[in-house]
Amino acid sequence: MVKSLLIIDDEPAICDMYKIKLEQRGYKVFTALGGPEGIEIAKKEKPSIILLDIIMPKVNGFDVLKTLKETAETKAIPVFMTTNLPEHTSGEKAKSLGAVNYLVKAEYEPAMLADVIDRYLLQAK
Amino acid sequence: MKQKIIKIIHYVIDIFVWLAVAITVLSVGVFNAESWMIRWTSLAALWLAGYWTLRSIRAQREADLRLLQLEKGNAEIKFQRDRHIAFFELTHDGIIVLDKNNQILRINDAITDITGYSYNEAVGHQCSKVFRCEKYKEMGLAFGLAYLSIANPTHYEEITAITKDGRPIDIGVRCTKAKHFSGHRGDSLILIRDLSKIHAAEVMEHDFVSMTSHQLFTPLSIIRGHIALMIEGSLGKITEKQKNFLDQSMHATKKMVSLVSELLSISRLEERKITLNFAPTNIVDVIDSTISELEPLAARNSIHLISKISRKSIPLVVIDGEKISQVMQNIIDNAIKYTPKKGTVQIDITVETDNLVISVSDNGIGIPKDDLPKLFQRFFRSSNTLSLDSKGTGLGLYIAKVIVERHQGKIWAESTENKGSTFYIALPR
Repeated sequence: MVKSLLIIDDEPAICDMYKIKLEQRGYKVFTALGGPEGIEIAKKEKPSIILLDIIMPKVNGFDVLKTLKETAETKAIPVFMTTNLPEHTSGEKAKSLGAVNYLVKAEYEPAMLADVIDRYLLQAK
Repeated sequence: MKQKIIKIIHYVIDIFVWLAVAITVLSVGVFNAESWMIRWTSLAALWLAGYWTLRSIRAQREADLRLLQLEKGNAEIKFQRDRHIAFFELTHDGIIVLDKNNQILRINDAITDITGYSYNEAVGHQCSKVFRCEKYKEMGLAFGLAYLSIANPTHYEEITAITKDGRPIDIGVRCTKAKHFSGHRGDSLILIRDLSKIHAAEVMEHDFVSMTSHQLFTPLSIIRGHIALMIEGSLGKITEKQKNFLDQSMHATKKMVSLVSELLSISRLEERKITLNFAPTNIVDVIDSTISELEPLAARNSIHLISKISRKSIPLVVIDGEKISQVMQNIIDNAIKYTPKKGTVQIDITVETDNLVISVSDNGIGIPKDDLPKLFQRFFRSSNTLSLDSKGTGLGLYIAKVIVERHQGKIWAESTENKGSTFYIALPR
């Protein structure tokens, strides 16, 4: 069965570049440019992993994460925070809210991010 | 002074009285007496008078000493009491003293600042009436904390309480028995720390650091990601010439990312926003772990990485293991990079009276003599390294220096060009 992923990021260029690489790795990729849209897609499609940005207009990533974890349909979906905030500023908070990983986008090229996702899903089996 | 004079007068009077008795007895009873009985009785009376006088003087002196000690003791008690009162009143943390029924006996000014309740509004009332919070709504804060403190005397938690005017406030709370404070069994203390300002400061820092890094990293992550996709051929085939240009662009982008990360680290280290987690640490474990991480790099460069450290003789040192590991990583990484293939990098530790000195020696390209004094300056790169490693930002050794100095330590280097270098890190014991 093809695994799906959801990218929630307000930067279209980020969504596009990660989508290209992840689709090459065989994943079905959904994207959302904001939290509310992302939550609806997550409820409907139930992706294997959600890649969630933090700094977004209107609803920030932490509030989206809280909502995902409080919603029955989405609370079990693992969330990777993919952000350009340094880990020391937000890593602890992200993990306390239920994120399973914290990746600084500037340090992860698309292929490197895809490797992390592949490893995580392999271990999760 | 007046009392001392009075005491001296008493002693003098005692001695004078004895002398007067002695003279009288001697002249009447001993020298002029005809009967031996009268002489001996007179001598006995003289002896008794002398004995009584001496006892009186000694008793007086002992009483004086006891009085002095009592006065000193009272002064000490008053001093300690005044000190405790000053601490109780002046501390920024709130303190509530409760009796065994959780009725408030006393509060300090900080409680008024935190909750809005004045001394008269709080004292004499149940703690739960004055101190409201959602978590302990039913049982009351004091009861809840006391209950948890039975199992864990150091129990501490962060909760949201409600002030007098209905405003929520984040606080840290701890409960402890107050027998030694109030003298009564069953009394307890609740210690309260206002976290609202700390949390606000964290948010402010988050905003500044977050927006700075976010604004710098966001375009860099897009550039890096796009270049990576092009190099990998994910966007179509590219020519060799295009690949060369893209490789150089990627190189420059990675350098920018490193530079921004390091500048942010320096900013936080210098402003002491990074709290170092000092703990007694086995430095050998830190070094061994760093060596393990760098062994693949050493192997790729055909460098022998040798540790000459004997575990047994190395005492623990109080350091932030993670930060010192970062320093070791930087130093050993440099040693590997600037040593030709089949060279050696050796790590050792010397135990001195006041310090542990870690040394990292290599037989690499060395450092020009003129560059040595500038080695730990920001952005400095030794002239003979530029061709070997153009990725370096010139900040690694500066960051290492800041971290070592935050440990009250010292870092320096000795080197001979074309023969090798030794870097030393001295950490206080």
